[in-house]
Amino acid sequence: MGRVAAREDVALAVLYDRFSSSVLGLAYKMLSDRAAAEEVLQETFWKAWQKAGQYQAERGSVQSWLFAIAHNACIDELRRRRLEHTLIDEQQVERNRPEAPDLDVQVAWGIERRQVREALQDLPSEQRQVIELAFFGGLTRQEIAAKVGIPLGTVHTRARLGLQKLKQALSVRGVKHEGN
Amino acid sequence: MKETEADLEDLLPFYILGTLAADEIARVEAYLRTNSEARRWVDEMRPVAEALALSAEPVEPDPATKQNLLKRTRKEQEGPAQRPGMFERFRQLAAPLDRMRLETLVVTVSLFVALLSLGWAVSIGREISRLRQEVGDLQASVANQEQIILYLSNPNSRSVVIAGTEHRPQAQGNVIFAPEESVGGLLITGLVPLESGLVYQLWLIEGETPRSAGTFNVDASGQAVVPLAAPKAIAEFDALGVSIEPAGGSLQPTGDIVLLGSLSEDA
Repeated sequence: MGRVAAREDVALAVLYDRFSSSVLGLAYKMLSDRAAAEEVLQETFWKAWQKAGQYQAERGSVQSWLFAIAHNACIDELRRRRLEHTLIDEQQVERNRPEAPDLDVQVAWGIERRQVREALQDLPSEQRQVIELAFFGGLTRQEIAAKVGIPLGTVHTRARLGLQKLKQALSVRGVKHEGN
Repeated sequence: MKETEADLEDLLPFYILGTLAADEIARVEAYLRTNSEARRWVDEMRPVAEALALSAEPVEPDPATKQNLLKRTRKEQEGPAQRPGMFERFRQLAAPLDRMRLETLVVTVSLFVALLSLGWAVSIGREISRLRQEVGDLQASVANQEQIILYLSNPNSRSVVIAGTEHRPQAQGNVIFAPEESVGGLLITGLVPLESGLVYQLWLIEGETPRSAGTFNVDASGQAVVPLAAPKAIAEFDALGVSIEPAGGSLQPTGDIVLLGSLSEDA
């Protein structure tokens, strides 16, 4: 990151090669739109280029930092869409689904990805639903309550319990992150 | 209606999940500044959100996205150098000079440019050599990763977590191997890059006897993907450890042991 902060675009290219497929994976999962996800990807690394000097390793890994930038950009995009009442055509989404990534995806994340998915599957489905609607769907508490048809208080309880159980399930599997 | 502590506690999970409105974020952050218990809860839960982000399947980007990104960075960097009128200003400065002074100026400038070019060529040469080294390292890393993906795709493969010792409690290893195989892979996180002259050495331990399984280094983020090759099935060994040793490795562990764990535990 120091070399990116020193404005070495070769370093930015290395950073991009290392993390872009994971960042794009998150953006695509949240937006279900390849073109919009690629745009978020480019903006994420552009922000990383511009704000590399502000990155603090003790507050988390580079990957976490990039994920946070991308996640915020996706939430903004989802909110903008909801304001415009954009409806996503599920069939269109399926047609636009990209090909599977090459085999040279980062193995480290491959292992962790499998463990996180297993941990998510271990959650009671109603807690998993609230967490996924919030994190990947970008829905607010009130929007989740309306969509699922449950009281706001139940949304709060499920989110809190879900996060705590997920943390335990991840911990059992040995998943941990730099900067915890 | 006044917001109670319970109301703010209700917001905390959504602060972690990143879906609060700007005014709610401001209220939560003010609350966190005054409540250490809430701050601790948020700190504990933050990695969960990071892990959620990681659960998304990676997608290979369109090469055009990278090209556009790098085009933007180069455009930004070239900006000041290509300011219009610079060449024009130089010409205006040179215009009043007579022929003799102009020739002297041209020779001086040429000499200066030649010296600059020489320095630049030396620096480019060093950069090329460094990049070649980087490409070589990356190729080796990709080869290791591809190998481990093969192990992962084996339905019999298992993953065993090896914990960091008191010398490096934040370190962790994930050993991937099939019980009947003598090859596998090890994914390591949380170690620190070592100073020159030191390496990490991998040990497969049978009873009380450690057997070297090679040396490695970690990248700047403390990670490494290490191929594992044993003289017999990995499952027949009791434990795996990693120690810090002089470059070239040792016959027995001599330095701090930073990772140690049983191979028989299920992940």
